[in-house]
Amino acid sequence: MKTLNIGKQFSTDPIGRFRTDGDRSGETFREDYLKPAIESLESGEKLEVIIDDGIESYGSSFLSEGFAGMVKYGYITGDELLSKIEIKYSNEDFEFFKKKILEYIGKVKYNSKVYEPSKI
Amino acid sequence: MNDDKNAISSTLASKLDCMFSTSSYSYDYQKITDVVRENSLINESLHRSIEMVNAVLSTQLESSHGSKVFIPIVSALIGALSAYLFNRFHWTMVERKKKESESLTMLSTLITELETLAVDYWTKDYNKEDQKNEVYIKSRIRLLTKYIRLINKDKKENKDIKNDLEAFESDIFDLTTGDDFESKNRKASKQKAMSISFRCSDIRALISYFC
Repeated sequence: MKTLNIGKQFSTDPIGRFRTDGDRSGETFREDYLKPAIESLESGEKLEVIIDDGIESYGSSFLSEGFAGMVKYGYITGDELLSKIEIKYSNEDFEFFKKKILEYIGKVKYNSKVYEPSKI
Repeated sequence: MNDDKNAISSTLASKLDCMFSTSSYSYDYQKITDVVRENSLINESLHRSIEMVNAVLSTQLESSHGSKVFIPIVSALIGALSAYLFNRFHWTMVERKKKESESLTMLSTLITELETLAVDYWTKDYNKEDQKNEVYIKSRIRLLTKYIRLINKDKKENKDIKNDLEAFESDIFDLTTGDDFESKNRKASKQKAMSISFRCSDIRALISYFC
C-alpha cells in the first residue's frame, strides 16, 4: 500500500481548480501527485490518500478537479479509481469531504472531456 | 353427645314452634326437629372446617406478621421510586429538547452567516480581497458539516430533518465552493447567489419548525 498525504506531500492549503489559480490547485494535485501515484501502483496495490493532515478545509472546486478529473479526462474509470484509492482521515469532520470525493468520482462521466493544461 | 344434639335440636325446634305458632304460616313440628338435627350434624362438620381454616389463617398471619408491617413501607418506596424515575425521565427529555433546540438555533445562525458571505462573494467578480471571504466561507462550511454531524448523531428519532440537513450541506458545499471558487477567472453569478440564498432560507424555515 502506497500513501499520498495531501497535507504533507502537496499542500496544507489546497485551493482552486486550475493551475492558473495557483500551484496548490486541484489540477496541479491531480496531474503532479495523484495521477503519478496511481500509475505507480502495482497490480492489486492500493493508494491510501490522507486528507486531513494539517488541512483545515476543502472547496468543491479543488476536490472535483483533483479527484473526479482523473475520470473526466479518461485517465481511469470511476470504478477502477474507487478500487485503487482509500481515503483516510482521523478527524471526523473530514468524513463529509471523503463522502464528497467519492460522490464526485461516482458521478462524473468517463472520458467526457479532453484535457488541456490551463497553464503551460 | 348425640343426646345433647338431640336436646339442642328439640329445644330449637320447640322455640321455632313457638315463633311459628303465632304466625299464619303452616308448619310441621316433627319436620322442623328433623331439619334442625340434620343441620346440627352438618353444622358440626362445618364448624370443624371453619375451625381448621381459622387455625391455618392464624398460623399464616402469625408467620407473616413481620412482612405485613413492611407492606405499606415497600408500597411507599415503590411509589416514591416510580415518581423519581418519572420525574428524572421527564426532565431528561426536557433538557434534551432544550439542547436540541439550542443546537438548531446555532446552526441557523451559522447558515445565515454563510449565506451573507457567499451571496456577497458570488455577486462580485474576482477580487484579491476575496481571499479573506474564501477563508470565512470554507471555515463556515466545515463548521456547518461538523454541527450537522453532531445534531444528526443526537437526532436519531427524526429522519426527515436528518436527511434534509445532509442534503443541504451537500448542496450548499457544491453551490458555494464549486465552479470558479478560489479562481482568478471567477465572474459574478447572480443566479448562483440566488440559489445559495434560496437554499439557505429554505433550510432555516425547516429548522425553525423543529426548534
